[in-house]
Amino acid sequence: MRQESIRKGCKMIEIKNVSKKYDDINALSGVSFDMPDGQVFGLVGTNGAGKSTLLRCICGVCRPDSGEIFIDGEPVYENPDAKKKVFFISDDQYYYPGSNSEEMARFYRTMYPETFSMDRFSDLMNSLSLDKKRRIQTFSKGMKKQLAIMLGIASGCKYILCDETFDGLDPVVRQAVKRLFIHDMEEAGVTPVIASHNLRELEDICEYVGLLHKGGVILSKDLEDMKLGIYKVQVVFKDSASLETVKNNLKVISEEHRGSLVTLTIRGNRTEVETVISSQVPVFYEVLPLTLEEIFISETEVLGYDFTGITKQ
Amino acid sequence: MTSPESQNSNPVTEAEKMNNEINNTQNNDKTGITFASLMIEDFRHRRWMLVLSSIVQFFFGPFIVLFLLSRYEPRYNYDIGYLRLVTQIRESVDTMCGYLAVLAIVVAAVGALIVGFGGFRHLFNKRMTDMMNSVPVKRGKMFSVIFLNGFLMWFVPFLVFGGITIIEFAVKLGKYGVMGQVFGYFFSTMLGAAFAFFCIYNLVVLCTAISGTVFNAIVNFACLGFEASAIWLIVYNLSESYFRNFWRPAIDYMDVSWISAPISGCLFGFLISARTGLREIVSSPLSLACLILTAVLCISNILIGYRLYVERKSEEAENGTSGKVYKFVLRFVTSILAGLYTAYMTGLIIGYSGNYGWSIFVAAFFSAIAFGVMDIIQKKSFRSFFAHRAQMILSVVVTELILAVFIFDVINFDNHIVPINNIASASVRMRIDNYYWWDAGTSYVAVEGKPGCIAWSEGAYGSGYTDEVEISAELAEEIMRSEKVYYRNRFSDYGTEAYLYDPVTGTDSGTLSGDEAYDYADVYFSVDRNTGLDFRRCYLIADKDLLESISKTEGYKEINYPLNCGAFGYPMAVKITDDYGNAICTLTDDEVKELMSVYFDEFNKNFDQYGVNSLNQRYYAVQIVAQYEMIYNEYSSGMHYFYITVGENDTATIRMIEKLTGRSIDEFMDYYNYLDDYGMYYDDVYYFD
Repeated sequence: MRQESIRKGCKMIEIKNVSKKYDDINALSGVSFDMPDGQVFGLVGTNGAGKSTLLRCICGVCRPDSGEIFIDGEPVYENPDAKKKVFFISDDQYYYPGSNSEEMARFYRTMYPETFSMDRFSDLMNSLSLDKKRRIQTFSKGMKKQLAIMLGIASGCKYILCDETFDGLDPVVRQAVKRLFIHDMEEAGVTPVIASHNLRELEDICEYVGLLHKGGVILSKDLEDMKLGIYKVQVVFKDSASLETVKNNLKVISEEHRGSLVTLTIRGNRTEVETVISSQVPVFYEVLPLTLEEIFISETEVLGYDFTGITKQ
Repeated sequence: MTSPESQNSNPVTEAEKMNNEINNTQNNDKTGITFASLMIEDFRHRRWMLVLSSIVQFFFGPFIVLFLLSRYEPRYNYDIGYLRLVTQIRESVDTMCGYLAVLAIVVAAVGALIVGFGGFRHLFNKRMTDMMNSVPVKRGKMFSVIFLNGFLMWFVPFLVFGGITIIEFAVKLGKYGVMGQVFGYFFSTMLGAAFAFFCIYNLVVLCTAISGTVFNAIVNFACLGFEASAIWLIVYNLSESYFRNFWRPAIDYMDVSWISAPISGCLFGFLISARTGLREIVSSPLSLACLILTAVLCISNILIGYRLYVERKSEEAENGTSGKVYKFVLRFVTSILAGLYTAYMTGLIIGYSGNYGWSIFVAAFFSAIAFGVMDIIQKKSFRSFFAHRAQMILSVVVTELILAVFIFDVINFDNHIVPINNIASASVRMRIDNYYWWDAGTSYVAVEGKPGCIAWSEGAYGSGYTDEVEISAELAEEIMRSEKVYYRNRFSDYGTEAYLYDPVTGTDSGTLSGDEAYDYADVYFSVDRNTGLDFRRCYLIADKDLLESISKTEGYKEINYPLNCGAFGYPMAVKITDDYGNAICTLTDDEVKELMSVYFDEFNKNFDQYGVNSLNQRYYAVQIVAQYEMIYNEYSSGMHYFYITVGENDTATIRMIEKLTGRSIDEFMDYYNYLDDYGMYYDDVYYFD
């Protein structure tokens, strides 16, 4: 189902050459990519890459200085018809002073009258053992996050934009939220868009990933496709000439030496990588899949986002 | 719906974009969010405002009225009659309703500030702004909801508690037929309070739309709300301080200050709330023009506020003031005003004829400081003090140039003489009259058909002067030229001074500061120029012949000395007192007529011969105390006393006093040298025989 959607190119959130500046700071510059629906989209990026700004633009909070953002083909800024499909959970959600969860739910029911479900909200709150009548200001940071997620899920919106949502959640709740997202995605076609630094969390749940760096998109791909195009190889060569030959014939992004063991990160298809390396008759080699974090580090290192030398100073 | 394939190649066609835009502009959203549901939701989160508004309006409405009425017990009094009783009750209802109207407008003004800043508080909080802007509601719609709710939070309690107040009046005083009056006050107060509310509310909303913090919003409100008045006031004050010939223009400060939204809102609110206020405003072209201008400002404020709110960037929350043009204008104007006001205050402290170097320094210093402080406030950063150095220098230079216009009379204000051909008409009043120590009665008129009765003259408290006398264009020009002959503005070690100049010897004979200034008369006059502009100036006259000519102008005596020339007729009673107010004798009706006839004749004869120069005499400290009945309105009146001091030239009057009292005036009276020429010396030097 998911693959078919991508094949058909059903791009439901379309970001077209979006730029945004805060005074003299370029938060986003010419960002363009699509977020297909029906899958969990991970938005990862370096600090200050513009993840939050992008999410704020997608939900219509911010107006891009240039470019456009479409939700199901409709421009989102100042367009309630498009915005009603989006729920934004910020990293520090606002709640009215003195209000309780039920009052906030009532507020969002007013704002999303067609889709918000009070029953669903009650069920979710009960399942997380959160008291609807308790004043939110007495909640812990994690409980406030939970409440924001529950409101987002109960809103019934097609797109739930989460900005660093998993931060502050305990592991049990994190897993529960992930299960909820997967469930709603499969049952109701909800598309969670999750911006986070915690790539290991995203790797568990995300199927499609966009990588941001310095306000621009490095890549935006299906996570599996992303992993197919880049490999980590641990190899012990007989001589240094073999390493040079491999480097000349393959697109080596990074290399790391530990004694005679060389770890290479190589871009390309697996067959080609294995063919070139085995042609050098190494003492030992093993092709390993890359984690999302490793892909992220490799890709950003290429762009000069590298602090390995910090310990030498 | 386009097919996925077509979306892939060209996701949104131009036609679709256009359709989307059209849909947006038509506000044709299908979210199911109704205006009413948004209003209820907004109300739910700021119901404390309604509670506060209700408590305050209950206190200043039903509570106070109940308190007052519980102590108010009208009793039928056979002496005054039923009709008089009803009139008295109506008068007290008038008084009560008048005070309630004032309170209602003060509450409306304060309420506008609270609901304005409170309703749009999300603009000062990033998280709240994000939440409000992320929900599927157009910003314009959100603005309308908050704006309307704010108004209702003041208006609904007003209606409810206004209704209760009316019921209280009806129960207690309804039988005296005051309900028409009460309803009239209720509606006029509602209109006046609503006007005041909107004038302030709209400006508050505009200020919140350009501000990222509540502090910035308050500063911007103060600047936008009061700087127009402050500009007028400083121009007025500096002109009065530095220009020798300046006299307040026909359009008074109070009139022009109305261009400021909060002030004009409240002032018009007070006026409208008076039952006949609106009629009075409409009947005065200037007031009507001010009212219309205020209403236009009020409407434009809200339109601009709406536009700024809709276009406001989310990231401006918590960020100081937004909008480069607004920021610059606010900094620039505030800086100049700060410089000019501090220079003016320096003048007040060290004197305007003092060293103006201080004023210039202070103006530059505080102009720069104010500019930097505004920058700090607008950017919320102390590092921003010198962020716009070039603009700061510019504002200091402009401040100094404006100050120079006043100090050095760059525009040649004091030496300007209106060409005779440009003088359409002129009128004059002499300041010497105002300093004259007796009350010449210029604020009153005789009441026709009621001998011995006077009433307030129309315009006594208005902008018109009752003692202005029409003069010829030739005389007007002569006054201007004479002043230029006798006076010079001169720079000295002590600053700018107007020197009395002797054209014969060619020397300066004195400054205008100190007591010497009172040796000479100031003549204020206005000239209706052919241009249609009213041109009001003050001139200093030292030429006695010219003074005599002016005071011999037809009507001058009757307008300036109605009491002394007999225009009020005979007083009801007269007593003769010494300088300490001790009665020497009280006259009979016949004696009153006898004495006053002599006094009137003598005054008229002397004045006709010498004009105001006839007042140049030593005065006995003997006084004729003339009693007139002052008619306040149809039902009330009181006694008013005029003190006529008798001078040494009033020989016939003195003889008559001696005859009536049977004593020589020298027996009980000393005179002191009260006036010398046209000046006044309060030397308290008594001449004992």
